[in-house]
Parts: sequence; C-alpha cells; structure tokens
Amino acid sequence: MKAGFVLNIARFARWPLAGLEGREIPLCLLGEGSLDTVTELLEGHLVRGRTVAVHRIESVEQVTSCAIVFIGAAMDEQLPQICAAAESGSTLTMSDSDGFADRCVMINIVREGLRLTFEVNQRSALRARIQLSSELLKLGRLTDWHDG
Amino acid sequence: MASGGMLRARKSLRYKLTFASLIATVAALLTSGALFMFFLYSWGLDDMVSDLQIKADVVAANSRAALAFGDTSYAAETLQAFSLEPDISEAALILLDGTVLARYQPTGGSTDPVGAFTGLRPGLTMSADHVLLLEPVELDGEVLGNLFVHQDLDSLYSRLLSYLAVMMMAVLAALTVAWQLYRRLQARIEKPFLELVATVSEVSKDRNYALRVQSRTDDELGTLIDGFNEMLRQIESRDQRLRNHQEFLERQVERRTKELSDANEQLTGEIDVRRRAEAEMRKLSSAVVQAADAVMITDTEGRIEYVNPAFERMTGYPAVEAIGQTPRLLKSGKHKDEFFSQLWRSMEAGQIFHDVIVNRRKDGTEYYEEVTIAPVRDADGEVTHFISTGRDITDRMRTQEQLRHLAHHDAVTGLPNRVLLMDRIEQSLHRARRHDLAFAVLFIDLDGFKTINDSLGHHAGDQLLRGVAQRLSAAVRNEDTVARLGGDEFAVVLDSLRSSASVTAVADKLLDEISQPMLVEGKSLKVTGSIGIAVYPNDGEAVHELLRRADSAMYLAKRSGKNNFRTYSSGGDSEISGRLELEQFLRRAVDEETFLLYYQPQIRVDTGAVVGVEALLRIKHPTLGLLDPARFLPILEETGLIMPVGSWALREACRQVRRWCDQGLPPLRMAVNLSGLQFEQADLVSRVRRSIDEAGIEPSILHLEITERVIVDTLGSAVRVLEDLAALGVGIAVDDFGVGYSSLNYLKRLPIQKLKIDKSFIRDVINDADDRAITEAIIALSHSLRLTVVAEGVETEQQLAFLENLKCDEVQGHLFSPALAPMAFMAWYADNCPLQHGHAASQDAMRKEP
Repeated sequence: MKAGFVLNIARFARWPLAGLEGREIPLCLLGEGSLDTVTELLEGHLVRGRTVAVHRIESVEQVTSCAIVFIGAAMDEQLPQICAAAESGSTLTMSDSDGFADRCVMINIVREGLRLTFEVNQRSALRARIQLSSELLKLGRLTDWHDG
Repeated sequence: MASGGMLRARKSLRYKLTFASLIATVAALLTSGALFMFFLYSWGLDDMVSDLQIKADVVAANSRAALAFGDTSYAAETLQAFSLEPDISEAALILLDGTVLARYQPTGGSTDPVGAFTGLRPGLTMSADHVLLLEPVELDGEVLGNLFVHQDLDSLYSRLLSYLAVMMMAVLAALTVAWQLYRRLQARIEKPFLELVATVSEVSKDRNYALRVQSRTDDELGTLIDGFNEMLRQIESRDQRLRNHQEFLERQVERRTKELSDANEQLTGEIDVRRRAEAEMRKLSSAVVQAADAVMITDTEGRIEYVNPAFERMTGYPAVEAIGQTPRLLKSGKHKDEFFSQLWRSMEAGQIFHDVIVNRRKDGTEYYEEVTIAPVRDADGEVTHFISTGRDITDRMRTQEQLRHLAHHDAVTGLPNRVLLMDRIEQSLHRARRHDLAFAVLFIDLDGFKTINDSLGHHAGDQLLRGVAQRLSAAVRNEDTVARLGGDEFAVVLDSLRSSASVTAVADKLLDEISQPMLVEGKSLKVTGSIGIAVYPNDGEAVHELLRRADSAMYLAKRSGKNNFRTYSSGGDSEISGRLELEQFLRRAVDEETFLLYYQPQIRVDTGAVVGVEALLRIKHPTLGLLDPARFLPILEETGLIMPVGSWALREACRQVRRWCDQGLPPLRMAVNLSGLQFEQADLVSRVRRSIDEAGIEPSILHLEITERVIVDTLGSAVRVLEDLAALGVGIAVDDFGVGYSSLNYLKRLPIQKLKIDKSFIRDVINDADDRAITEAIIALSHSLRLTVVAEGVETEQQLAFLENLKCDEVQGHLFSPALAPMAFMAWYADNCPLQHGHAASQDAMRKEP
C-alpha cells in the first residue's frame, strides 16, 4: 500500500534538474523502514517515464544522488542533514514517521483511520525546487512550515 | 368533345407535370433532409461522444489523484464536474477492485446499487438512448481505476427534433416557392405547347390546314412545332394538289359528260337524219326498183353492182347474171372501140354521158338504148360509182333509122345514096387528113344499062341494079362504101389506102364482078362498067372535087372503050406538077420567112368605128404575084408547114400591133387565125404568151380565130386549150361559123367571145332564104349567148343594111377595105379615121372607100 503511495506521490512531483534525468529514477532507501520488505513492489515501475531503481543507501551524503529518498524512522537524528542534502540535491524526501513532515520531510505518509494519507511540507519541496502538483497539495495535509 | 378531352388531357398533363416536379422536389428535399438529419445525428453523436471523451479525459485526469490516493471526497468532487452537463445522468469512479470510489447521480439515488458499469468493457458503448463510457484512469502507465460515464442522448434527439422541425418548415417553404416557380415557368413552357394543342384541335375540327403555330421555342417543342407546321404545310400543299386534281377531274368529268351528251344529241340527230335518210333511201330505192327506165350501177372499174327490174326486162339478163359483169355483157359490136374509149374518157373527166347505144340482149337481139351515164360522187366529191339509166328506144330508132335510111339510101338497091356518099367521102377525107392516108373515090357507070332497062322494063332493070349492088358490096371491104348515085351510076369509096396499086386492083376486080353474067327474070344478062378513079390527096382535097374528078376520069374510061377504068391523075392533068412546084415554093418561103401579113379592118356596125383588124396570110410569087390563099393554104395545112408559118404569123401580128402603136395608131384589136394543126400543138399556149410578151402588148389586144371545124374535131382537148388561152387574157373567136358542125350546147361551154359568120352565108344573104335564115339564127344565137358576132365578106350596101338591121355587131369585107399591107393600112386608117380616137370616122366616109 505504502509502496503504491510512494510511487503515486512521486508521480505528482516534478524535478528541476535535467542532470538527474536518465533511464532510471533512483529511489533510495535510507535507514530501516517499512519499505525495505517491498522494494520489489517498487522496482521497475515507471515514474515520470523513468524506471524506478531502488537503492539502499547508508549515508546522508548519498542522498543527493537520489531522486527520491525514503527516510526510515530510525534516521530521526540525522534528519536535518538529510533534509539539507535533499534540498540541495533536489531530492524528494518521503517518510512514514509521525512528525517528520513538520520537521523537514517533504512528504510524510500517515495512517488516518483505515486509510492512508500524507502530509506535505511544501516549504521543503520549494527549497529543493521540486514542484508538487496541486492535487498533492490538495489531497495532502499541508504542514505549517517554518525554518527549522 | 375533343376540346373537352383536350382540356382534361391538358389539365391532367399540367397537374402531372406539377405533381411530378413537386414529387421530385419533395423527394430531393426529403433525401437531402434525411441525409442532413443523418449527418446531423452522426455529427451530433460524434460531437457528443468526443465532448464526452474530452470531459471524461479531463475528469479522469483530475480524478487520478483521487484514485491514486483513494480519496472519496476528492473523487466525488471531481465527478461534480459533470454537474454542468445535463445529459450526464450518471458518473462513477471505480477502483480496480471494483469498488466505487465515487458516484455521481444528479437525478437522485440509483436504483441499481451494483451499477450499470459492471461487466462493461473499457471504451464506448452505444445504445439507442444513451452512451456509456468506461475510461481507465492511468498514471505513468498504471491503471488506477476507471471512470464510468452514462450520457443520455435526449438532448441530441431533442436538438435533432428541432432541426427536423426547422427542416420541415424549410421543405414546406421550398415546396411553396417551387410550386409558384413551377406555375410561372410551366406557363412559359406550356404556352407554345397549349398553342400547339389548340392549333391541333382547331385543325382537326375545321380541317383548316392553312393554320400555323406561331410560337417559337428553341427546344424540342420548337422542333415539334416546326415539324407540325411543316406537316401542316405539306398537308396543305397536298390538299391543294388534291383539290386541284379533284377540280381537274371534275372539269374532266363535266367535259366528258358534256361531250357524251353532245355526242348523244348528235347521235339522236344522226339517228333522226338516218331514219329520214333511210326513208328517203327506201323511197329512192323503190323508185329505182319500180322505175320504167333500166338502171345499172357500176363501180369505177365498170363492174355492175346493181341492176333494176326494168334492166332485167330490157336486157333479158336477170340481176344475178348481170351483177359482177361489166356492161360489155351487152355489147353489140355495132360501135367502134373509139366510141367506148370516148365514153370512158368523158366519164373519167366527170362529165355526164348522154347518147344512144346499140346493145345486145341475152337472146342475141339488138336494141337501141338511150343512155345517160352519170358519175356518183361521195361526200368528198370522189367518184365512187357510175349510174346508167336507159330506156329502150329501139322502136323510135327504127323509125328514125328507116327515115334516115330512106333519106340516105337508094330505094332500089338499098345502097347509100348520094347524100350519104358525100358524107362518107367527107369522113374518109377527115380520117385521111388526120392519119395522113390516101383514099380513092371510084365512079362507076354501067355500060348498056339503058338498053336493058328500055327493052326488059324497069323492073328487070332494078333487079339488075340490085344484083350489081350485091356484087359490088361483096367485092369490097366492110369499111369501104358502095353507093348508088342514081340511074346506072355507082360510086365506091375505098378507105384508108396504103398504095395506089391496090386501087387499080380493086377496080379490076369490080369490073370483073360487074361483067359476070346475071340471071334476071330467067334471062342471063351481061353488063360491063366504066370506072373513074380520083385519089385523095393527089387528085383533090374536097368532096366535090374528088367526085367531079372521079366523074371526069370515068368519062375518060368510057371514051377509051368501056369496061375499063381511068385514074384522074393519069388523065394528063398538069395540076399535080403545079402543086408540087407550089409546095416547094412554100417550103422555101417558110425557111426565108417571105410570108406576108395583110390586115383587113373590122368595123363596128352601129358606130362605124374601126375596132380591129384581121391578119391574113399572103405570099408573093416572083412571077405570079400574090397567090390565092385558097390555093396555098390547103398545101400549108397538108404539109404541116402551117405550124411554123402560123407561129410566125402570130409573132408578126403581135409585133405589128407594137409598130402601129409606136407609129401613133391607137391599139387596134388584132385577130389571128389558128389552124387545126397549130391548135393541137402542145406548146401553143406558151407560144402565144411568148409572142405577146415579146411584143410587149396587152393580151386582150390579141384575138385568136379558130374554125368551128377545128373545135369540133378536137372536142375534148379544145375546151382545155381554149380555157388556157382565155386565161392568158386573149380573146377567142369562132371562125367560119354556121357550116354546121357545132351544137349550141357546145358553144356555151367554150370560153369564146365572138362568132364569125362564114362568108358563104353572107354572099347570098340577099338572095338565098336559107342563108338569110341561117345568118339571122346565128346573130340571134350570138346575142342570146352574149357573144359578139362578126360578118365576113360584106361586099354590098344591101348586105350591110341587112346586117345592121339584125344588129350584127361587127363587119369586115371589101365594102370597107380588102386586106392591106401594113403601110397601106396606115394610110387607109388615116384617110378614114381622121380623128383617130374612137368613133369619129363616119360610116359614109368608110363606105365610099371599098
């Protein structure tokens, strides 16, 4: 479920750089997370015409080379660095940990009852010069953003 | 009725046309309308479908997020976009698992909880009243779910309905306009057509082929009209020809009818005429049948075609025997062939022949028939038949014959007497002259007859005479004549002699016959005879002369010893040599033209004026002086010299007229004698004309004198020659008239102006009652025939007074003047007619100059 969410959200995003463009769109998994078991669900799907390639990264430095980075709950401490790296490298940041969106993660998937929804930190996305579609903005719960 | 039919037809045609046009229009409009509607529908449907597709695409795109994130409200929100579309009756977003994320049902709650979309395939599904669309919503190639849209077609249909309504209105309007246009246009197209129809109906009603359709159109109707007009024209012209022909036929019939009725009338007339003609014919034919006279009708060849009962009685030949024969059947042999050829000539000339013919009956007996034969002519004047009517005049003829026989025959012997002998000699003379023959007159005297008569009595004498007569008759040929002159004198005329030797032979034979002994009253008697012979022409040329010379020769014979004969020429008369000499002299004179013409004046008795002269032939002998015309004229005639001499005289006389005229004499009538030989010349008429022309004188100046004798001798041709001469304009006088040859009838037929009384009558007119009577008769006859009569040989005052008393027109003779030479005549004329012109010369003066 989350995997589909991830893909769909990614599909509503637009990256600024052309340099990152290639046949593949790298989706990096940083930290232990709920996606680890469903990487195969992600692998091979298309996002914006490119094939999703799931990469496991360990360091924050590697974030810039990813188009999307899913941040596990365990990376709580290193979150600001990760966000900063993501913002500089125009990497869409996603997570499914409460409060992460308020901190700096651009998209944070949350459970609301029986259904999944997501939070959108548009400020982070703007910093990363990633354009999120209005639909995302409309469907997602926008966080109050501030410097953070 | 025809026009009513036409009218109906016209209406029907008109409405048919309109109807057809409108049907076509309506069909066209409906077809186009249907097409239009179909296209409207399909276009509308397409529009609607594409519109739906577009809307669905938009909604689908907008609903991607809702589907991607399963946001129901957002899904519903996106579906709300259809609320602006009234035709969308249902819409739904369906997840892949079939759950309905959101549903849009503007008309209220769905009765179908499952949804119309279950089992629906992606794409469009069309049905009559709606369109269903199931569109997958995809995001980056992944199907998130489906959008279902149900769209009703109601609005499309209502729109179409309104289009249809408008279109129907348009169709109606178009039809109305078309109707009006058709009416107008049709009227234009129809007009010539109607006229054509009207003309056709008028033509069929009135048979007036002069009508024409006036309208002109350039379409097929125009061709039709032209064709129709042409047809009318042809019909009209043919009609005209037919009418002409009919009129021609009618005229023809009329003419024929008239001809027929004319012919009929004519026929009726002809029948009438024929009926009358038949009655006439019956009358005539019964008249012919019952006529007392014998009637015989022959064709022009002389074949007998009809004889009547009187003919049968008269001839003894029944009609069946006579028909097909010729009149020769009746021939007696008593007529010479000449007689019949003359008969035929006169009939061929178309003249009526009237004479007495001796015919022979079937039983052989002869009878006299007084016959009139006339040509029968047809309407063209062509002679087709001859009709002969005759009666038996045998009794009468016999009486006459007896009388004549008595008059001409000797009662004792039955031989011709002196009178008849003279006639016979005359005839022989004619024949001999004409045929240049000789004949002899034998004078016979019996020697010693007087003695017998005195001794035995005159009865025995008569018997002897009869015997001699028989012997003489038996001794000569039939054509010879034996006559008794009286007493013991006989005469024999031996006709047509060829040699003088035969004459002496006959004379010997006669003497022998006479001297044969004869039994008279039981006694044998013997007499002899003396014969004197005169031969024409050697011994004389006149009857009396020959007789006289034969007589004198007989005396010579008697004197020289009886039972002997003598010829006159052998009697030593010198006349013969003198005659030969004279003949030679005359021949020379002809060659040398030494003949002379003397002119004796002819004087009118009542005025004494000289009216003409008669030219008289003269010849001067070197020793004898002027010769007696009575001497040389017969020689000229006999020798034929008269022809050249006569021609010369004619020319000379004409020339003399011219000379006298030139010398100042008035034109005097010139009388010239024509001899018989001249008269028979074929070119006489042209000779006369030439003489006139040469002298340049008026033809009427010339008078030709022809003796009565010549005219009678040449009978047939005389008429023609005289007519030809008269046609030249010359006058014709009959000379020596009264000698007794002519019949009065004959004179009437001749173109003559004048008769000249023979001088022998004038000579004794004072003393001889016969001559006086004859002269009186001739003058009376001339006057009755309106002929001028001239007396010749007037020598005494008494004669002149007598003639004057009888109103004789003209005279000539020595009382006035002998024949004079031209110059002498000039002198005489000057003396006796001092005034020259016309009547001035007094009778007294003339009488004093004989």
